[in-house]
Amino acid sequence: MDNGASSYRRFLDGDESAFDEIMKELFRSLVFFIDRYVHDVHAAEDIAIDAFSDLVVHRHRYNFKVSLKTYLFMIGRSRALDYIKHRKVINVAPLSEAQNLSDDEKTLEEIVLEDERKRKVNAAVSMLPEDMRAVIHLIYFEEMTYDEAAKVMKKNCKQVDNLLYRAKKELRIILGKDGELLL
Amino acid sequence: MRELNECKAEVFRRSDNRIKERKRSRNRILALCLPLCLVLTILSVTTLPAIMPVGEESLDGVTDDVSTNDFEANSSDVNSKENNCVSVTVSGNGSERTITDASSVENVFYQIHDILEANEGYMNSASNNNFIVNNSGECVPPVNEQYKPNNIEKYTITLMSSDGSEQVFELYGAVLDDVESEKKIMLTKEQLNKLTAALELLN
Repeated sequence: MDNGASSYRRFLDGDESAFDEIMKELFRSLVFFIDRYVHDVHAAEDIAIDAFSDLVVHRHRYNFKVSLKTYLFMIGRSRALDYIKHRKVINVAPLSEAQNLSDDEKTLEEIVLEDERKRKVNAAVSMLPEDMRAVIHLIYFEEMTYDEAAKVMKKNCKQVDNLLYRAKKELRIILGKDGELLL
Repeated sequence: MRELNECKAEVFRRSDNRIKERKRSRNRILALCLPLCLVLTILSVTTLPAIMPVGEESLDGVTDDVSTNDFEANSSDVNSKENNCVSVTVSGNGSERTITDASSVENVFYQIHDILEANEGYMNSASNNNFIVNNSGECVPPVNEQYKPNNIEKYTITLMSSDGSEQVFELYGAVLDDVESEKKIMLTKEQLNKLTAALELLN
């Protein structure tokens, strides 16, 4: 599947089932990526639903110049940053709910990261600054090209390259001896 | 975390709501803009013609010299191009003369006629209000700043027509006064010279 472009074309032509395929392919990944920013699985899910809703409401904004995955992740990142900016109320959840939240995050991790190795890296990635987190996620977990990652993050390829280099450096420090093998 | 189907249903529910909201706001904008455009159109149709400058064609026959038209209305004899004047009596400076020579009478007639027609005088400036009182207490007309006639005597010019009717003018300095209509014309130097020459007055 070409990251959803052909499915989206079918959806635009009236095939509702094509949208199911897109959701199945990209929804959880998008939620996982947005969670990197907002640190709240339920909020990330909500934001991801809004991002997919954009695909339905503004059907002709996507011009097929980038992959659908890149386009969706661009929308997701933008909405996540808006959410962070407008978040005024800090929810203080009781410990029991916190356990549930972290369980949900674990569930999400299990769904998205089938690879055990990636799960180990994921734990370390959460300790990185926001931009580094995002670039590692896009390149390493989502397996995007530098070009696609640059479009999502609204940077150029050189900046992405620099970020990635610094992020890996930090990860090696965090992960220690095993870091080299994992990365 | 929700199931994928639940999320998909939520996606379409939110999309429908957003589409409906867009339609509603579009209708609201139209509902506001259409009456506004209508009002602006009506205003422009009613207001613009009033403030647009009038074309020159509509100004044909209208002149600034309103009083000349009034003067002409009261001096129909002199205004008529045909000379029906038979004599001109000039009195003033302690004397009175009557000009009966046809060519001289015609000359005086047409001088006054030309003055009225040319409207080179400044009727408004020669109104009664501009007259000044001299040391003797007499009300005298203002002197044209361009020239000072040598003769500031007052002359009465009476044009007698063939049917017996009269037209009386007064020449006081550089002002020609139609006695009947009480309209005054401030003469130019050239007009004054020609008139006084026709009347055989000394300048």
